[in-house]
Amino acid sequence: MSLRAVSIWRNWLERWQRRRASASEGTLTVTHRTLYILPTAAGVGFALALVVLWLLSINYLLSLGHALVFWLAAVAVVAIPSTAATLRGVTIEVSEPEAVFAGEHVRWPVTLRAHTARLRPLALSAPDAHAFAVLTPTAGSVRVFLEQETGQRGLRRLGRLTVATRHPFGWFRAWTVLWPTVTAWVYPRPEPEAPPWSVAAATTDGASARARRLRPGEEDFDDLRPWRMGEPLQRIVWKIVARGGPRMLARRESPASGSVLLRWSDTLSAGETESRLSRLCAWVLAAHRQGLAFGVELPGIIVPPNRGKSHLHAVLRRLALFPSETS
Amino acid sequence: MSESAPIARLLRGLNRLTGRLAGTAAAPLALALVLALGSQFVEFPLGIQAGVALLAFVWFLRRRRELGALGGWRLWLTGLACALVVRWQYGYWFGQEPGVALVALLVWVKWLEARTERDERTVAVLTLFLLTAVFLRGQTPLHALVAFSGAGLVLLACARLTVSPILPTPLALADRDAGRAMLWALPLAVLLFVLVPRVPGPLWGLPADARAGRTGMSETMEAGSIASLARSDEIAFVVEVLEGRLPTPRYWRGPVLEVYDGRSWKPSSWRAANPMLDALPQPAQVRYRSLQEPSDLTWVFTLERTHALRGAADVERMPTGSWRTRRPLLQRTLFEGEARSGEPLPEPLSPLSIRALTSLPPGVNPRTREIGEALSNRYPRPEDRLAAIIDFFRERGLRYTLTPPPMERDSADQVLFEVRAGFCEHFADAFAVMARAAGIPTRIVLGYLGGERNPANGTWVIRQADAHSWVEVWLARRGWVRVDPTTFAQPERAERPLGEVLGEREGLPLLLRPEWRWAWRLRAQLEAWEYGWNVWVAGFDAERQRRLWQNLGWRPDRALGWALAATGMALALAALLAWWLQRPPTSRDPLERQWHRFCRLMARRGLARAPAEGPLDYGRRLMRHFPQASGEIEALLRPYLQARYGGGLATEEAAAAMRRALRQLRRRLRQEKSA
Repeated sequence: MSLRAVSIWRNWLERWQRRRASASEGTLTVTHRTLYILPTAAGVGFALALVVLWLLSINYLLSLGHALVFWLAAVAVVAIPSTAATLRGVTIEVSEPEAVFAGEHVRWPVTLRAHTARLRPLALSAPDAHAFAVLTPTAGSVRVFLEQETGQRGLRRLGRLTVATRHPFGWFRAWTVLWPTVTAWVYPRPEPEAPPWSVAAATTDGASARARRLRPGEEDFDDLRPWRMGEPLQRIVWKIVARGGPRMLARRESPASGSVLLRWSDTLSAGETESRLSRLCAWVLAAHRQGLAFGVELPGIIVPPNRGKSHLHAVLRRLALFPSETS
Repeated sequence: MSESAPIARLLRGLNRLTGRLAGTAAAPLALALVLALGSQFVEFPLGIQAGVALLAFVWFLRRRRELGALGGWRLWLTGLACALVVRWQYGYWFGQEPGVALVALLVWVKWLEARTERDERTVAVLTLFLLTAVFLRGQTPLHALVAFSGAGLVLLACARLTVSPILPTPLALADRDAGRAMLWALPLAVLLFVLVPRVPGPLWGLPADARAGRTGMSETMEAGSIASLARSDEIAFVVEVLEGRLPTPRYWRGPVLEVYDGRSWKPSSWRAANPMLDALPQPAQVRYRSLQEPSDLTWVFTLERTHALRGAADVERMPTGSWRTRRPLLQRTLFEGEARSGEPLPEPLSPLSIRALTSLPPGVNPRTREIGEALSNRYPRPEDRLAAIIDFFRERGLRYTLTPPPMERDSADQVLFEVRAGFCEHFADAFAVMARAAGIPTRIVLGYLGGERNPANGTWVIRQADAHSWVEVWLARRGWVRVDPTTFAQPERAERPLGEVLGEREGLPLLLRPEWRWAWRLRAQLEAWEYGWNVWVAGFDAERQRRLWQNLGWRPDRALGWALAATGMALALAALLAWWLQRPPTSRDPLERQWHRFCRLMARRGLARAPAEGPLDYGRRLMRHFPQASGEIEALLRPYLQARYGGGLATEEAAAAMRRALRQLRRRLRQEKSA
C-alpha cells in the first residue's frame, strides 16, 4: 500500500517536473521554474546543532552565544538563495554523442554555461551514468562527458538528467531535472569471430569470388593490374616496385572492385535475432573495411550496395532499429 | 572577497608549515579548534591539558604523513580513556566543566577516525560547540572575537568540504562564496539578535560548578575579611544614574548581619514581611541602573533606601531592606532601582527582635561589654547612650590602617584597648558589640562606600577596594539609623576614596595611587566601552529586549510576541527569497551593467528604450530630448559602441569611461532640473 502510494507520488512528481521542463530539447537554462531546493542531511544536522547551541545559550544566559547562533542561522538562511544562485541561470546543453556499438559506453557531451563569470561546482547524474571528464574551453563554461552503459542496440535517450549543486556550504541541495530529447545510436554488437559470408552473397563482379575465401580483415594483394598514367600514386603497390617490378595497382581498392549483398537469410546459423544481427554487423564492418560496395537484405527491406561512411551508418542504423524478437 | 584573502594567505602559510595536510577542509577546521581550545586551555585541569595536547599532536602527525583514518578497538579504547581522564580530573560526570572537557578530547578522537565528509562535518559541529563554550569563560569583546572568527573558519571548512570532485573548483572560489555569505548574513543576524524573543533562562538550572570560586565580598564578616578586598581594583558593580542625583556619601547596602557568635557576624534567616519598608512617604528621587559583576553572593548591592528593584534575576526584599536573589549572581546582571533619600519612618521593633539584636555571646570581649553596660546604666535614653558611645570612639584616637595585626579572640577589646587600630570591619565590629552591650539593637551592614565617577560615560564605578562595613542602630523614635564607626577614626573616608585617605601606599593597587592618574584615565575609557558592551551586547537578555521593544512603543505579551515575530520574520524571508529568485539574472559583464544603469536612469525620466531600439538610435533620440546633455550622452555611448561593435577598446576601460560619463550625466540632469 505504502509502496503504491510512493510510486503514485513519484509518478505525479515526475509528470509535474516534466511539465515544467517541457521546453527542453537538449538545452535548458535553469530558472526559478525548473529549480528545486531542499536541505541535505548535513543541513538538517547543522540545524540540530544550532538548536542545541541555542538551548545552551538560553540556559547559561549567554547573550553572545545567542549572537553566535543567530549569525550561524543567518548564514544558513543566506545559503538558500546562495545555493539556488549557483544553479540559476546555468545553461545545460546536451549534444548528440557519437554512435557506439551495444556494450560500449556512450559518451554524452554536456556543456554547462554560467551567466556569471565563473561556474560553481555542479554535479551531474543520469541513470547508469557517471561524469568522467571535464574540458574547460572558457572560464564560464565547461564540457562534461556523461558516460552511460548501453545494454541494447537501438536509438536511446539519456533519460532523466539531474544537475545539482550543494555549493557553498553543503547544507542545501539545489537541482534541476531535464529529459533531453537528443538521441544516441547504439548499433548491434559486432560478432567477434564472425565466419565469412557465403558464396551466394557474391554478385556480378568476379573479384568477390575471391572475397568469399577471405575472413574479414585479411588482405589480398593477388588481384593486381598495371598502373596507368593519371591514376593516384598512393594506390601503387610499392612493394612490387621495390622488388624491381612494374608499377601495379591493387585492384580491390578500385571503385569497381566488387560488391556484396549481405543477407539476413545467410545468418541463420548464428541463432536468435540478436546474434544474427551481430553477425550481419560484423560482415558490414568487414565489407566496409575491405572497400567493397555492400548491401543488406533484411526481411522486407533491401538496401542496395554502396560504399562510404554515410552508407555504413545508414546500414548500421537499419540494423539497430531492426525489430527485436519480443516486439 | 577582500576579507577572505588574508585568511587564505594565513591558511596557505599554515599549509606550508603542516606539509600537504590531507583534505582541504582540515586547515581552517584545525585553526578553529586551536582558537576554541587555546582560549580556554589554561582553564582545563592538567590531565585534560595533557590529553588535548597529546591527541592533537597525534592527529597532526597522522595528517601530515597522510596516514589513513584510525579505527577499531584502539579508537574505542582512546574514547573510554578520555572519559576516565575526565572523571578522574573532575570527580564527577555531569556538569558544565567535565562536559566541555570531554568534547575537547573527543573531538580529536572523532577526527582521527574521520573518513567521510560526514565525519568531518561532525568535527565541525563539535568545534562550534567548543567555540560557544568559550562564552562560558567570559563574554568580553576578546571572547567574542575568538568565537566569531573561529566560527567563520568552521564555515569556511564546510564550504571546502562541499567542493565537488566532478567540477574541480578552485578553493579560493569556495572561500570567496562562503565569505560573502557570512557578510550578507550580518544584517539578518543583528535583526535576529534584537527581534527574536529571548527565552528567559536557565532551562535546566545552572550546574553547581558554573563559575565557582570568585573573589569578592562574602556574606559573613570577621576580622580581616574586608581588608583583603581593599587590594583588589576589580569592579564590583557599575551604576548609571537615569534620573535624579546620587546622595553623598554614597552607601551601597548589601547583606545585613544580625547574628553574632563572638567571632563572626552572619545574616539572620528571618524572612518576615516588613510593611514599614513600603510605607515611605517621599516619591522616588533617584532612578539608577546597576550592572553587578558575577559573584557567589545572592545579595544585590543597592543604594540605601532603594524601594524598587527590577532585573534579569528574581529579587526579593528582606525585612532589613536589603535585596536578595534566589540564586547566586553567577552572571553579570543588570538591575534597575529606585531610591528615596531623607529620613526613613520610625520602624517599630518587636520585643523579641530587640532581644535578638542586643544579644551577645557570653564571655567574649569583656572590656567592651563592661563599658557598654556602664553607659546603659548611666544614660537612660538610648539617644544619649549612642552619643556617649560615639564620643568614646572619637576619643580613643583609633588609627585607620589596611594592615592591622591579626586579632584572634576578643577582637573588639583588642581594637579598642590594645592595638587601637583597624580597618572598617574592626571598627564596625567593636561598635556593634559596645552598642549591643548598651542595650541598643544593632546590626552590621556589608556593602560598598563611594565609588568613582567615570568621566568617559558618567557612570559610577564601584570596585572591590570600596568594600566597607558599617553599623545600623535602632532608636525607637527614629527607626534604623546608620552609624559609620570608621569615620570616627578617619573622618574623610566617607567623602574620599581609600587611596587618598590611607597614608600608607604599599598594598594598594597602583591605579588607586594619586600619581597614576593618566593610567587611570585610560582605564576609565576602556571601562566605559566595556560597560556599553556589557549592557548592550553581552547583557542583552530577555529583560533588556522587552525594554527595548517598549521604548520603541511595542508592548506585546509574550505569546503574541512570539507568534507575531515568528510569522513576520518567516513572511519577510519568504518574500525576500521569492523576489530574489524571480528577478532576472544580473549580468556580470561590466559593460552591460553600465549600459543598464544608463537605460534605467533614462527610463525613470520617461524615456525607456524601446525593445527594438539599438543603442545608436536610442542615443540619438535621447540627445534630441536633452540637447543640453548631449555631450555627456555621447561620452557614454562612444565607449560602449567602441567596445561592443569593434573599435578596439578593452571592456574594463570602456566600462570605467561609461561610469564616469554616467556620473557627469546625472549631475547635468540634476542641474537642469534645479534650473
